[in-house]
Amino acid sequence: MTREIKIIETTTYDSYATSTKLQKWGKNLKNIFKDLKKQPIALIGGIVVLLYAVIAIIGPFITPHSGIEGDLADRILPPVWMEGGTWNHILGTNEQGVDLFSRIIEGTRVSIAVGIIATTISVLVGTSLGLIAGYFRGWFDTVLSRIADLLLSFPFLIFAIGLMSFLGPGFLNLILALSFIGWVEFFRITRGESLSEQKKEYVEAAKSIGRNPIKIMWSEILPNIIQTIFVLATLRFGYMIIMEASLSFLGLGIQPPTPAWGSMIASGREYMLTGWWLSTFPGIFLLILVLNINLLGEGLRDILDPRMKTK
Amino acid sequence: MLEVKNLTVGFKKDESWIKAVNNIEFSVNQGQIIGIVGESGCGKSTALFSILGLISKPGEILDGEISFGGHNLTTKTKKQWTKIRGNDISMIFQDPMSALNPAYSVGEQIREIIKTHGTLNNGKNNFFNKRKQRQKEKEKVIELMGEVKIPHPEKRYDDFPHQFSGGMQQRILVAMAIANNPKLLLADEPTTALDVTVQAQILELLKEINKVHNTSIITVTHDLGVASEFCDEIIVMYAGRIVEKGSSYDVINNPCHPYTKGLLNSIPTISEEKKIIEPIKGNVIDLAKVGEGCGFYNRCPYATERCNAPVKMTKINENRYVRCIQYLEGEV
Amino acid sequence: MKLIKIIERILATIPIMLGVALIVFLFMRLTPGDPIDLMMGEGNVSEAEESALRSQMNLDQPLHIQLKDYVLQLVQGDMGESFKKNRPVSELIGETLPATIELALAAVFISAIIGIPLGVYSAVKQNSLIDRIGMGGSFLGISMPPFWLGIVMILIFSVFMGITPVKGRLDFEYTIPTITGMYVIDSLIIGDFAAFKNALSHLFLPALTLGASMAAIVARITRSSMIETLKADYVILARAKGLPEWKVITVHALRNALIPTVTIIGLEIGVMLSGNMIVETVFGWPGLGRLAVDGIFNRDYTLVQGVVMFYAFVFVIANLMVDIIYTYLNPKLRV
Repeated sequence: MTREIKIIETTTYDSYATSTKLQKWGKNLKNIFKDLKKQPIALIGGIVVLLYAVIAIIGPFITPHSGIEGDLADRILPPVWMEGGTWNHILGTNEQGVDLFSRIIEGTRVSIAVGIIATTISVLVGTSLGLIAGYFRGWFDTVLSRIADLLLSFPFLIFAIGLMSFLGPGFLNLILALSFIGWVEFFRITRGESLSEQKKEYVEAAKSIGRNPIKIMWSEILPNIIQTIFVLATLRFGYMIIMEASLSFLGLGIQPPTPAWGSMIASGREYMLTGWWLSTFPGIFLLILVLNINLLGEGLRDILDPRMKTK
Repeated sequence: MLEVKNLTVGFKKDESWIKAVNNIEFSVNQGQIIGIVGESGCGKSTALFSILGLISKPGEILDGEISFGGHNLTTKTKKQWTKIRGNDISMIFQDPMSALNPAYSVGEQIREIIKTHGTLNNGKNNFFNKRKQRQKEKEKVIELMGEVKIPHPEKRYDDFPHQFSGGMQQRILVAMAIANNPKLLLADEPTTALDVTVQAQILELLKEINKVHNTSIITVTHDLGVASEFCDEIIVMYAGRIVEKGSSYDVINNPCHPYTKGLLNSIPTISEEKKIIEPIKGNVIDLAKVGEGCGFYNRCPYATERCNAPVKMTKINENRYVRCIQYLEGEV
Repeated sequence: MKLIKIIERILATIPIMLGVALIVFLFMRLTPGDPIDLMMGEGNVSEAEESALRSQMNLDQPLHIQLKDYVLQLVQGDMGESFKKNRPVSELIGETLPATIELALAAVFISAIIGIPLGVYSAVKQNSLIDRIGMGGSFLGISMPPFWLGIVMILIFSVFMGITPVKGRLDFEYTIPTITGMYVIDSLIIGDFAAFKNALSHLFLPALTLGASMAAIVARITRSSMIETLKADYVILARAKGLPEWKVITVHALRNALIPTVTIIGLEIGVMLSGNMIVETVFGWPGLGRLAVDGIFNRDYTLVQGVVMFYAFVFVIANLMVDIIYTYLNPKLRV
């Protein structure tokens, strides 16, 4: 009888625990939105980022002109408010006669895509490895930590440049390169948190009743660190976008004719005297996006992780 | 020597003021040791800090006068304070480890207070022979460290705070505080963070300084035992007001106010046999909710409706005061 | 005590450097395509020349022997020869290094001069106008890609205002003897003020660009560190001792608050190395970064390899120095 009761108790506890955890997460999300409304700046940040994401998806379908093909007869036209500008090309045209505004809009897709995918991969890989390493310790942990240290001994951009120059330019290679270094940070944080959470009593309690380690990691440890991860991921998202732009600027990322802000800025350099807008406007769009991502990230940090709230 | 009159200190919260210190009044004679006793949040530390003008936003002195040597301390400017603090009035803190700057040696930190006030040079800084003055100051520091019974002070001058034990660190703070022979020494729970045996030593030290230099001491503590051993006079505070005042013997042995009685009843004693410890029922009232009446109302076993009206501080004897209607009516 | 720890740390960097060498080496050898073909480009090269080059570069040996030779060469300071320029890589690095150091030092200087006082002021006078503007500005600074900032700077200062030159380190009519390799210093040493002014005008924009983004980070770290430190008991005690407020802020608070700032600056050196590549490219600054970028585009693999190794080396050394300085600044770690 007692054994049966214990089994029932354990399974009930399991489903209870999972359902309460899920409820907690759900409630958390609702709370987040509520708190976010209180912080107008972060809210604006979120809205703008969302706007960019929407543009990334539907942008190429609504641009006034093609972002890739242009009329050479119309090359390097100034923006509408300057002499020689027309409403046809609000922000002017580039050296190949392509409408700058349309090209910038199409470039959004690249930046957002790279940012999201690279960040997501980094988070998934880094977090899972970190959880496992923190939980099981042993040689797995040691090896991975050494690798992490090694990767961190390079400045991010240099490593990315190195990787890209050997892999060759292109969308997939770019994502690979960025994720290759990006996971380390999430690994470190997750591992650290996993280690400290492990020492807490509830984990020991769960272990002592013999719960599946994966379950423990998922339902006990993960919820506590997910907020930190979320904040960090948001901030890293902005950083990945800057990285993509820097690499494209150097010609190592997304190659023309695919529109990418970085390469637009690079090619605009030659025309600094005759067409300053070619380099300036893509950069402004980039700046606004990253700025708002950071605003959102900082706002989220203030809400979700008060102990990180030093700035 | 020091007179506090109608002192009210508030903290601004959402457009209203919370009175951490509500119209308190007391005086200190030269050479006296006064203890302010009460639970956390009763305003005792705030009262202490306001004597040295160390209340900062969102706190403010809303009313009252602190009279010291003929001056009113509540109106002092920042510049004027630099002459008073560390010189006429000093302070020691609760947690000596965090009160000492980890980046500088202990000797240098003590020397700083001497240097700042030019004590060895009649209040001025000797620009001409800095090295000589520094040497003199160093000697004085070593002398002070000896006075507070730090062994081998010459060797320990260059040591850093983390190289000392808690008791030693507190002695360093005391050395700093008495360096310029102040008239008044403020001690914010000086022994709370220390072991019991060390506590006794520090209190002994402070008593000695009081005797030798005739320095007045105001100490804030939540420990009635410390207060009874150490202080000449005890002031009991609750929810920002003084509820009882008197000589320590009187207050401990013949408590008047229900709160004081409750405090004494809740202390376990080794000597008495089989005494039941009676905790005071309820919790300390939220300071924001304290009205004009007695702050102890919601926990007092003798309270009636009349306690909700303002209660005055009443003198019941020479140097014996209490703020309680029920006591005066003999109900307590 | 301290010395042993320093030696320990230095020794700890060796495995890291070996790991770096391994990674760089592996990349070289494992990238798709025959390195010789990639380097030769389209030119028609005879079989003989090809195999001569192959054996010269050890490419006909098994991988582990190549690695061993590579590491041995590295330790002796030999990083091979640049293919395109036909000169030893170490020599090329030596030539371009002073330019990069000059830029880096100027950038650190600017970031400290702007960042630290701004951070301190913002912490002491929180929510003042300067605090809000300063923090807003620094927020902008970390959101901005440095290469874009550089271009905008050039547009504003050189193209529209015409007060600074567009590219390079020095207009060709000036020559400065090489004492330290840093034009600004050398021209002062020999007293050539015209050259000095010219060199400075060239240095100004790139240093400002690089320094501005760093200043943003320095300001934020200093501010948050100061805010925390100002709450400490020892700061209150310093006031209670009668010290004037400025002394409380500088002598007591800042001394402790700067520790994270200095650490970050040291670590940012690594980031600056990366930023250098881009800023140097934008401004045509003939430093290590531009050398590397050129090497990448010219497919000059030995050169790129050497520069990357060197960067990693500097980064590791910089981290080491930061560790050591941190120990010095934080007496608790000394004993």
